[in-house]
Amino acid sequence: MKIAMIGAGAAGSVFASYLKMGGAELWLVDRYQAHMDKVAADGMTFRTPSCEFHLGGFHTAASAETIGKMDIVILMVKATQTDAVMPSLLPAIGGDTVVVSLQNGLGNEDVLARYLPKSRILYGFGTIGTELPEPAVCVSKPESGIIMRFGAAEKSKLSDEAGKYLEFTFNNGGCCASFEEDVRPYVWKKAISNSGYNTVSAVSRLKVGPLLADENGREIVREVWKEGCEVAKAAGVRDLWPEMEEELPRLAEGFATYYPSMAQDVLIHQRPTEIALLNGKIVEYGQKYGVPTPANSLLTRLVSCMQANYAETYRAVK
Amino acid sequence: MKIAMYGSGAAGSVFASYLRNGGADIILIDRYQAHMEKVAKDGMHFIIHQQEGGEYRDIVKQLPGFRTYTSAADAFAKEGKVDIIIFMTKATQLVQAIQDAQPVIGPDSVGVTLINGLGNDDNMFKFFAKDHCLVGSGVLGTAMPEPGTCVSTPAGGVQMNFGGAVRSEATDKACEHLLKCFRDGGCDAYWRKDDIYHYIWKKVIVNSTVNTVCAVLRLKIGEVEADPWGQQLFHQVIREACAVATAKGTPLDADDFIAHDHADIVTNIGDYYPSMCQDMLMHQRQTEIDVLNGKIAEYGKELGIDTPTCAILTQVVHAIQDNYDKQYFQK
Repeated sequence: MKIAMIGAGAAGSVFASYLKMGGAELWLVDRYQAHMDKVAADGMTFRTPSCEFHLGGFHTAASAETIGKMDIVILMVKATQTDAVMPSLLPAIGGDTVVVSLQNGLGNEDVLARYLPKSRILYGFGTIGTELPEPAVCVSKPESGIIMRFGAAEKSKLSDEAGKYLEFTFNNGGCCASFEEDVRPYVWKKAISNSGYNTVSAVSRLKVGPLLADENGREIVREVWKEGCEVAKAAGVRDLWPEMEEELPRLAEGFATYYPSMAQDVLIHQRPTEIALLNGKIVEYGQKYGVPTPANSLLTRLVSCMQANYAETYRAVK
Repeated sequence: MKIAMYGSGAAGSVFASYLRNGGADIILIDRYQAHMEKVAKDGMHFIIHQQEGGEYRDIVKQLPGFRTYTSAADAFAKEGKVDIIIFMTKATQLVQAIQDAQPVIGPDSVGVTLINGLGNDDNMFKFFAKDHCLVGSGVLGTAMPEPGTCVSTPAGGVQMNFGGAVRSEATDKACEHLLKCFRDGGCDAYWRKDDIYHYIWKKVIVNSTVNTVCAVLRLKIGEVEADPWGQQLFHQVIREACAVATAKGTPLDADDFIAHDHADIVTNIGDYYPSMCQDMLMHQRQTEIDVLNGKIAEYGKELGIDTPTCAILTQVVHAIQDNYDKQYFQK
């Protein structure tokens, strides 16, 4: 099958590399010219914890307008940019094309549903640490177990075929993937999880370990999670709270010694965060279903204000 | 009337200096021995750092005539009971302070708290009848750069509000005396005969709003106000606080507060980091969060009024101030 990866940054390149290894015909679409040129000329160097692979045969393009019709189009641009890139993807999307979002955050399938029927939409996410240290070199640092999950926005013959093909090809390429009957609980759980420890870590400027060791820090994360679980329940997902509550102590161990991604965005790189796709989306869905989300709303406002004012932020010197 | 200032740190020393400058018969009680000895020996070096039309002018006085003690027992041995005792400790230490001050407190003594924040009155009422109790707060920057020296930095406008918890012969007499001494001493103080809680709440709401939000965001007041998300945060705190104040018997309209009180703050001190920023960002010390947003959330819970913004901001500030040593900081 012909697959286009829209957005070939670190994660897009790694996902595409797994698919290439699994036997797919891949088009990488990204405006990062040096990366595209080098991959087209010399192929991709793909590093996993155990091996380094050299993968040739990628097609590359700066825009999807010239690549022709695809069987599967995978979106890996930042979720906030989906609306901006969709018009340029339409030439690659035919009547049988399935569009897949593996982007972070909540509600990506709803954005896609504005452009094509739900029966041709898949969505999900990967749990892989990724890096792009230089053009045409990408690094995968996967967790153990299943590292990619996706499912259909609406079950159909097309979404089923595409889902099964992707599941097979990812697994064939060494990426343990699962085409889920119902992917929503996984997507919500990941987003709720992030909206708690990730966001509160950014606001409190604490690593996850000390944050969760602190009574107040732990209480805020619990409150944010509880709200998220209530919203998920209202959206028709099963009650996630019991399993999430159980996970809290393990989280403290797993993340103890580093700053999660949003804290890195705010504290180290001063770049835009994914707040609008995490806590912001929980607030939005909460409003839609009539579930109050004051904790998520407060955090959304705090981080949105922070990221709009990096230049003015007081820098402490101890 | 004999006045005791119990707790003579920066604010206590400044308030006492205004009173002494106005002719009050005043004793200081504080465990800070070097400060007490220096003031007893040389008097208080009192600096008023006055701003007029953008220019600073220092008024410097050396005020004699303070009697100082490091404990209430020592004070009682020399002075007996006092007529008025003003508490200027940290809010968290108030109950202990009143207990420790018992030797100088008689049945006719009037107790006064001018400590910032909410809930100090309830602690006073555990020891003083309401008709022997004054409440209030100062609107002054204060500092104590070294023993024997204190600095007042008035912001312009009203500098002190106080009044009886209820009106009575005892509270009226004490208020009258304090008003005269403060005013004669150069402090623009106001006796709010019937509505002191109105002024206390207004100050608390201003502090709970700009102090807390700016400290967490690490931004100046004007910068937060200019950001739509930041402005929503300000307004959210004001709305919760006004609802609680109203339920507690001090009617405050949030829209009115935003249009006037909050707008004045933004206009006048938009370019400043409020005091909690100084505590949290510059000095990494404990903040007043518990008597500001924390107390609003506590009252809200008691009264069945939703105060999630205040409650969570309190938790955020706690998580930060309990972990300064573990926080990310930029070199």
